[in-house]
Amino acid sequence: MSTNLHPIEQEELMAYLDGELPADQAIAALSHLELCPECQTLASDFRGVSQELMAWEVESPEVGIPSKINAALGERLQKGEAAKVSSPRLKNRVMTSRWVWAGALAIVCVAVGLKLTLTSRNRNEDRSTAYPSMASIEQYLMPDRNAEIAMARSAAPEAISSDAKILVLGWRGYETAIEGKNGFVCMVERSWMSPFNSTEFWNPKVRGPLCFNPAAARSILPLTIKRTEMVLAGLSKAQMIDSIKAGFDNKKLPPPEPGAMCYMMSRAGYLNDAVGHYAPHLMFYFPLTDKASWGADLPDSPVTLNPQFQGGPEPITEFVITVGKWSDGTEAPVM
Amino acid sequence: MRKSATAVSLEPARSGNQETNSKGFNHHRSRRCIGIRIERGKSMNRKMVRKVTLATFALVAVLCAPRPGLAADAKTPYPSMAPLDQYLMEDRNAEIDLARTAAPPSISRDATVMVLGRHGYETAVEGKNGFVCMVDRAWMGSFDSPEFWNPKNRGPVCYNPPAARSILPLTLKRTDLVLAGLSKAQIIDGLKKAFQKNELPALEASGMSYMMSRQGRLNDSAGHWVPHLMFYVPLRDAMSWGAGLPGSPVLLNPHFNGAPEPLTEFMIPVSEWSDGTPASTDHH
Repeated sequence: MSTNLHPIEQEELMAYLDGELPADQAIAALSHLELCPECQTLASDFRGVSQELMAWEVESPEVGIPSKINAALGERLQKGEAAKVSSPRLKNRVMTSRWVWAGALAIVCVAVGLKLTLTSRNRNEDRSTAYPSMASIEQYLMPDRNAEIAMARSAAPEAISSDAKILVLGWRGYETAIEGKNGFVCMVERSWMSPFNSTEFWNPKVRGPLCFNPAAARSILPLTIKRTEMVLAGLSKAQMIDSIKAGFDNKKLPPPEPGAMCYMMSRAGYLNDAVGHYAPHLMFYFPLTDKASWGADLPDSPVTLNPQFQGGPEPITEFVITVGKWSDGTEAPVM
Repeated sequence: MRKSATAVSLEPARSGNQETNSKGFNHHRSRRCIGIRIERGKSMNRKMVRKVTLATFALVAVLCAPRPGLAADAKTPYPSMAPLDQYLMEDRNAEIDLARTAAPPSISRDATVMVLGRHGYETAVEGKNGFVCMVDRAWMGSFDSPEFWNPKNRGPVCYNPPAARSILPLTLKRTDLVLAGLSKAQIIDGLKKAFQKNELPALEASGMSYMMSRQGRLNDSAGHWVPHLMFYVPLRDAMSWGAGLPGSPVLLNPHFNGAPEPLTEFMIPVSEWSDGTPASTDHH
């Protein structure tokens, strides 16, 4: 990559992918990535190598070498000793073989180093999960903009979502696809709206359609926007958490407004690997409070606590109530 | 909203000829009581309209009556307050049990329980989880409800702690005014003055209540209706929650909504009664 054509070096790109660039440089890198197919490909390659390496496991050697193999090796060794002085051609082959082994060793060293570099930002994360780090951005995007609009609208009954504002995810964050007129805002959330300690925080398959009511559009949607911008800027989880805390401390992020709620009644969504589209439900947002104040999660209570925020770090409590029908009016299974 | 959608408003209809059928059913008033104004577009879903109409009728038929103090009250089965004894429950333990059916035992078991006495609600059982359970009487309906004085109504409800602090006082205030023998107009006036003087607490965020009793009787039309939760927010229109729209699981309860209490109450039906038995979710 030439610096004449690209304002960021490969090393910087790798640092960006590792979440090691300062926020302003990360945003600059992201801006260039958005416009540069060559860099997108390179970034994708870097991530691909990283993921393959992380998934790679060295198989354990067999405990004992079968006796037949031992005998064959011994026989070949004797033949080799006898022939090694008399055959210059074979000698060259042996030398070539040594170079091959040396090269292979070098490749392994480079691969291990690359792996350590690419995964440095995930050192504190759970490597036992299927999604230990961010996948390539393309995997989180929906190539069909109209499909994303339709999915976003499926979060609420048509009577609500048909007049709602629709946001779709682009390279730089959510952008308005359709202006609304009833104050509701519908969109498709991605996995990074899960709790930070969720094993599926980076699951690229997650699609969570939801429609915020006007109060939530003003006070909860900014949290989604904020997290998404930071994710796309390549910040680490720790950096994101710090930034969100600072946002609430300096009041750049708003507290939940009274009456803030949202619809999640889509049967087309995919909330995580365990529950799929789950059940149609509504969610309600409040300043951080004890779940007992709503009787949430008690036996036979229809109210459950969503751990999405709950002080980790957003100081918001979110309650969930399942309802009987999907947004299209069809019956949903009783949860 | 697109014209093809069905718009449901809980505002009373304001015009139309009054017609009474052979059974004495007043079509104009029934439309007014149901309070649904439907705008029909080309692709209106008639089935959905029927569902909404039927379900909402069951709950908000209480809006039938004209404004308080008007002579039309005489046309309702319950034109005035019945003797106090008819609103009381003789068996105090039965009232405690009924109050507790409003929420699952995991909640109501540790709740404070209040019962209605001759001088108002009184604490029968001290709780320890901050919830307060009680049985609402008919006067907690809308002031223009034809069942405002129905002595048979019993509405078990469990308030969560924020609602116990900010909504329960409204129930206690209305009850005090009723038991003092005031007219509807006087009660409304008394409530307005109480708010103006800050004698009633401000609404707390996250106030909600459980009404999941299958033993309750909310009014003559709905009976025990369906198990549901109620949510209290500052006064606003139904659209802020998408309430009453086709397919929406949210309904607006008209019993406060600025008349005169300055707060809005939304309801969401749930799938099971407090005892864990399934309930029909086909409420709208």
